Amino acid sequence: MNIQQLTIQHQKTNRPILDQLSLSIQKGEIISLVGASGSGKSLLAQAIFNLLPKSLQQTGEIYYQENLLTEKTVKSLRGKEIVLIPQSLEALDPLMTVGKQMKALIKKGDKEHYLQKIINQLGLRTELLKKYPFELSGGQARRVLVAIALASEANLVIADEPTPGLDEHALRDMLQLLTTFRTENRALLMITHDFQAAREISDYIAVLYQGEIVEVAPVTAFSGKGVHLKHAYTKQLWRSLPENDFTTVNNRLR
Amino acid sequence: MLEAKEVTYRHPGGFYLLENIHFSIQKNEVVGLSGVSGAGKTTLAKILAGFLKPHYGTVNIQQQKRKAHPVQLIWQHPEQAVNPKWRIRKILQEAGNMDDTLFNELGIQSEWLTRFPQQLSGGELQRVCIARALMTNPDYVIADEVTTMLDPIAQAEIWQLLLRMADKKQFGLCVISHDRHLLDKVCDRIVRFEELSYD
Repeated sequence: MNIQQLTIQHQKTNRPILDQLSLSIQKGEIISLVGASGSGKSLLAQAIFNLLPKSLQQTGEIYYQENLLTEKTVKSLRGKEIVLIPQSLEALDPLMTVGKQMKALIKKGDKEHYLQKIINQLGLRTELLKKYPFELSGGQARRVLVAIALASEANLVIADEPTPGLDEHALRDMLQLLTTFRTENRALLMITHDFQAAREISDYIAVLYQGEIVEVAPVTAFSGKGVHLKHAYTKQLWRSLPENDFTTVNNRLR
Repeated sequence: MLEAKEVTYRHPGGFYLLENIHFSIQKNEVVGLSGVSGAGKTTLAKILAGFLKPHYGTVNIQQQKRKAHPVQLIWQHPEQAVNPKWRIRKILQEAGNMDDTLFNELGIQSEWLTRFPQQLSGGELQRVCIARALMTNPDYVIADEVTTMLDPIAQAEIWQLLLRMADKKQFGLCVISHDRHLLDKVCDRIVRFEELSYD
């Protein structure tokens, strides 16, 4: 996928939220997009799937395998070639058991067998399939959302904040699971603020600040005191982690 | 001191989620609580804050009589903890008298008051939720994964605010989180949820 000069702005005020954003991702790659909450990270996912609210206007181009994504082409690709792992746990159908929801996405082959394989990979119990979403904990529901994407045969997966609320073991399983998209030669774009997660599985980390991607750094640059990081915001982000200095600057780099 | 003894709870018709749980926290203490997903940390938090009643066991809190519950809970998803159809001002007014000093300390800007929750970022809205909890002058605050949804800078800001307020207002702070680094940084002591129940 290749995003070129994507700008998203308010229809009324013309105030840009994402400003000429360009990013590309290849098969077998994991790229994380990190940035402050409210920086418009999730809007990128919505733009890719043509799901932006009507109050926002979008310019620029998004290509998927050389084809320009338009309203029409997106409709034929989403859910098949490109899938979204949504941020909201409310994306699960409250009236359908988890197992049924997952089976609905498995296109071919021995559905039961495949489902079992995914459940095992996720470290979830089989009884879970008979449960309704409200009976799941936040962590379980989150893993179910990934399982649903895994069950599809999409080549490009956009994960919008897949890791919050997971305990250490669940996080481990989740990250392991997300890397299977790479081993299966699919592409994963992870939108997250979870730096640790991004660091562990990504090839590159793209840093979004004030609507612009200020830096796309190889994951190895995020280490030590961050001397290989270029932009001041990226450095600050790195230093504000609890395992680093946990510092904040009162007047953020405005 | 806030002390939970032999707390036992199950969801209606479900299995026992909490069995014989013992937990205590002092005022002016910061205690971390970690544990696997689905273990019942949030359920325990709801019991401590009076949202749920245990089937067995007690929660004792030394307190003066007053209107608001002495244990206030701050949730993981601020957007789900407020009425989306109310403006920020109304959300805050529900908790008591508007306290501009407190709002200043929490970095809540006056123009936010006329906005709706969806017009604030996650970090901004979480500050509003913290203000709402602190306006009642609680003796204890339970922060249940409150910065999980935030980026590292917003997370560091929220924790510095919470620790400063806990120090100033002398409330006990219980931090529920999976983030080992975070707990190490902010807590006086850390307990694992599995260690809370013993026979």
